[in-house]
Amino acid sequence: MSLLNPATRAAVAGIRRRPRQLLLTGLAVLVATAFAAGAVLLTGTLRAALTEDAVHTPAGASHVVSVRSTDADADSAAGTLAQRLRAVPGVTDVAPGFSGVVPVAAGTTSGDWLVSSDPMTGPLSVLPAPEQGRPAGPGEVLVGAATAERTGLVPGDSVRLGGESMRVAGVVGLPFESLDSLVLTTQDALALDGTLYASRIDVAGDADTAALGAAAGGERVRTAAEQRDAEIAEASASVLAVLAGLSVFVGLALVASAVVVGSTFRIVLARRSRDLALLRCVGASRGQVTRSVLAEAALTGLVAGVFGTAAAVGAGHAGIAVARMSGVDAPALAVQPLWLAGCVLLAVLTTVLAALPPARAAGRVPPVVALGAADVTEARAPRARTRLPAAAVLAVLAAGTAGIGVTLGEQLAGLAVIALSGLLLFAALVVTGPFLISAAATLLRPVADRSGPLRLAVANASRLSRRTAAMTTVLALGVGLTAALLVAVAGASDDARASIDRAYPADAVILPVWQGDDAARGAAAQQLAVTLDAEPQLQAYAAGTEVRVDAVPGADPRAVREAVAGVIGDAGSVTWTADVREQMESGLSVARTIGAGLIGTTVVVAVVGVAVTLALSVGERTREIALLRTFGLTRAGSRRAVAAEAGLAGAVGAVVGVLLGAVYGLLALRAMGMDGGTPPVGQLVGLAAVVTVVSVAASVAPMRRAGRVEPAHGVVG
Amino acid sequence: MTGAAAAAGAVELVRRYGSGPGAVSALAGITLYIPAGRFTAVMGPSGSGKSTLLHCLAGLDRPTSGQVLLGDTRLGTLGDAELTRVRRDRMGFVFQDGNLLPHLSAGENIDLAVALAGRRPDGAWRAELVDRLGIGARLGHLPSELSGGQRQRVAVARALLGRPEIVFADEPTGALDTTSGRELLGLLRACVDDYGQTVVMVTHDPLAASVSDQVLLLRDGLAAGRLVAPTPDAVLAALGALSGERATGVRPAGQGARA
Repeated sequence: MSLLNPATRAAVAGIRRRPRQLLLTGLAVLVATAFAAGAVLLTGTLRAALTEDAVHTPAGASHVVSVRSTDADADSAAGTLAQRLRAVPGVTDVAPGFSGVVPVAAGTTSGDWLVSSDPMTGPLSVLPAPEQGRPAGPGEVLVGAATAERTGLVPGDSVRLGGESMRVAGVVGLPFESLDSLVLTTQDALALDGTLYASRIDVAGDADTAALGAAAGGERVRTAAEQRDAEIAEASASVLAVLAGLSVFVGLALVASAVVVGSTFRIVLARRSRDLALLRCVGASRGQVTRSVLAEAALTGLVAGVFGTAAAVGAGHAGIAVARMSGVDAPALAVQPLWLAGCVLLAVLTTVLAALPPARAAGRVPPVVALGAADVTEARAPRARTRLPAAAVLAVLAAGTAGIGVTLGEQLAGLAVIALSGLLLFAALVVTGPFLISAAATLLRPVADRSGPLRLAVANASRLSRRTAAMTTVLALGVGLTAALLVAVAGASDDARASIDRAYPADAVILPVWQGDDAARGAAAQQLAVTLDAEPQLQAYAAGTEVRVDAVPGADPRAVREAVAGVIGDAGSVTWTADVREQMESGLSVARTIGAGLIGTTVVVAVVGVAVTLALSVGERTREIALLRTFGLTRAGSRRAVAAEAGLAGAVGAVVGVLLGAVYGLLALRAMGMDGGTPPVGQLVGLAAVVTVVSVAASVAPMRRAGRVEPAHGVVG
Repeated sequence: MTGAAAAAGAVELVRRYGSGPGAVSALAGITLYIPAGRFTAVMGPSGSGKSTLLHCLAGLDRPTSGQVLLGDTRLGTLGDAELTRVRRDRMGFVFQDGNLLPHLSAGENIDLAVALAGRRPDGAWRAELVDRLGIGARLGHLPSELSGGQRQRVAVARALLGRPEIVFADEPTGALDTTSGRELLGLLRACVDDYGQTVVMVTHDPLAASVSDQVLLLRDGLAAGRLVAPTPDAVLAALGALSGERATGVRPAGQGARA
């Protein structure tokens, strides 16, 4: 402690005596850090779980040869390549790994299944023991456990694929089963070469790598250990991509929290200006005062970071415990201490950077303030001469980058450029915020004149425009992101619906399989159309190489599907337009939910900012409120004034956010080559209303505090 | 006071606030000297410029024109960092209230200026001051746990610890009751008598001013007279003459003395 300079020691002592204020100041950072730590925990856990499943190389393999050719008749095809490899001295076994998505008919249903191959016995089998039945032999298949549950298939049933009927020998647990899945023997898969593709050949024995390389022709040969490392690296890379995506949103939440923390430091320091001046008076240099504030910020960031990270770890454990209790097979939480320490460091850095401008301002407090000669608050008007040109430059840059983004024609890059433009505009908003608030206050003044509390709120907002601006800009950021998401999802839905209508002009579209050229496919389609049209519930016609099927009006949908499945079996793959639509809608709703979750943190930080700012403001204005109470402001009136201030900040933030967000949502759609259509006006209005209401709700605690101020507080000390 | 060396001084000091026709001159070209090792009180009606004079002498405010001297140092030529060092090492301050940092103990507050300079306090001197000011038992307490008189005595200890060339006191008894105020004035007087300390005190209170060696009277930003070895009655009379019709009348000490 004695290592610190006395100014810093005074600041630290202040924190020790009033820990609540530190938590209040750091609350926004706490939320953002919890989000950052949550992202780290999620990706760490995902990585641990994925790398476990990512290894496809069997324990008994010595080498893995990758196969690039997809031509079944070529010299490099899996079948021929496997034979050559088997002939290499030292090789005891080879197993090409086939897989593919092909039509499979099971009972009265037919659809596209994920079909893969396994040797079933020997060192190169990767399957666990079947849960039911026994390993498959020639002409038999194993069905995935989840697939068996969905389709009701049991050992002894049969399925049709590739024009053959195959017997279900058993049910086996498979790692991923989003699609209906079955496994057949390697020999049967070889016969389906051309429909299924082999991307790799596992080799067992003690063959020489170079000899295998010679036999493999140009194909890549890896030892099993190398292959496992590569598989793990691939899984890690995809997890890192998830982390990179999340970090964009973590960054946004941190930016929002930095704006809030900067503003709260300004308020807290304004209240302490007399103490700071006293320090300056008795000989503290500007640097010592500034450093004391930065030390306070570092401590605030440290505490907020530790609490936020701890909250994320706690929530992670709790979430997994709940998931396990409800029967979900959740992996253990992967806690990476180094990464979490990084999150805490990030919290410290964010807080210190955010506190830098107020800390420098604190150093400039004139010492004469200590004698009560000048009353210094942070009400000093922001300098228009430097701020407005800076904002204009930022706005021009934002418009320029937006133009580049829209005309780039490259989807992802365009989107990134649009996001950059959005950040530039946000920076312009931060710079001009105080002036916008003053302008909004001027606009509202005629309306406000009719109510005392409202007039007070408007006056406070414009007098402390910098503080109010911090609340509104952060709200605008959160609301803007949400609005952009809503507009983009609505536009993408319209676009997807339109393209589904174009691609699927009928209730179902059927593509026949097994024909080499288009003429043969066309003929097959004709033939299928005739057979399908003969069914009483169906109207079918061939269009090129596809068959389009519509249900007769009033037909039972279930009967229609069964009729189509009965005719087609495994002779073609059937796509139901209704299924595609449903998939698209559920995909978009998942995207909307995930997006809202990611953006939600920023909104939460913004609302925390409103609550904290108002709490500190009311604390600071106790005397002023008391004086107004003496002059006849009612208890309810002082409460209403605080609520009105929150509502004002919320409404300005919400309106600015919705407008800018909607524009950027449309720009993002344009960058991705969609026209966007009509924005979801109802949703946007609802968003603005909800955010305003939530802002007012966030002011409940300070509102009650303002209501408790007695008139006597203004007279006494 | 003739023959005493000057600890500080002002030469044709002008301090104007604002500009153009609306400008207000708080100091209108005042010249004065503060003798070393003496207790000087500065008095005058409200708006006479006594606070501004103190701020300028202490380097807390920059004069519009004129010179401020501390010993041989011209404060006007110093930058902020140098002024800060001068305040830290060569000046002591006692204000009306709010002298202490609320979250540091009395002892830590006493050591503040010395510690800001990165030095250790002179242990024997500190012990003597603490003993003399009667705050030995309160050093571990926070300012909020001390009485007003005790807080001011802590401030005096802090002001004297660095053995400054001059101590500035701005209404030091303003927030105290009569007894505590009188005690504090006695202690300031003792500092001058026993340690040869130079003290400059701005006050409203004729009783407080009567403790000093000389009273400098100000009116409208100019020197308006000097009382040597003042008595309360002499001070009152002089003030009454200064204010003309706006006679201040008799005020009990320690009341109505707020700036």
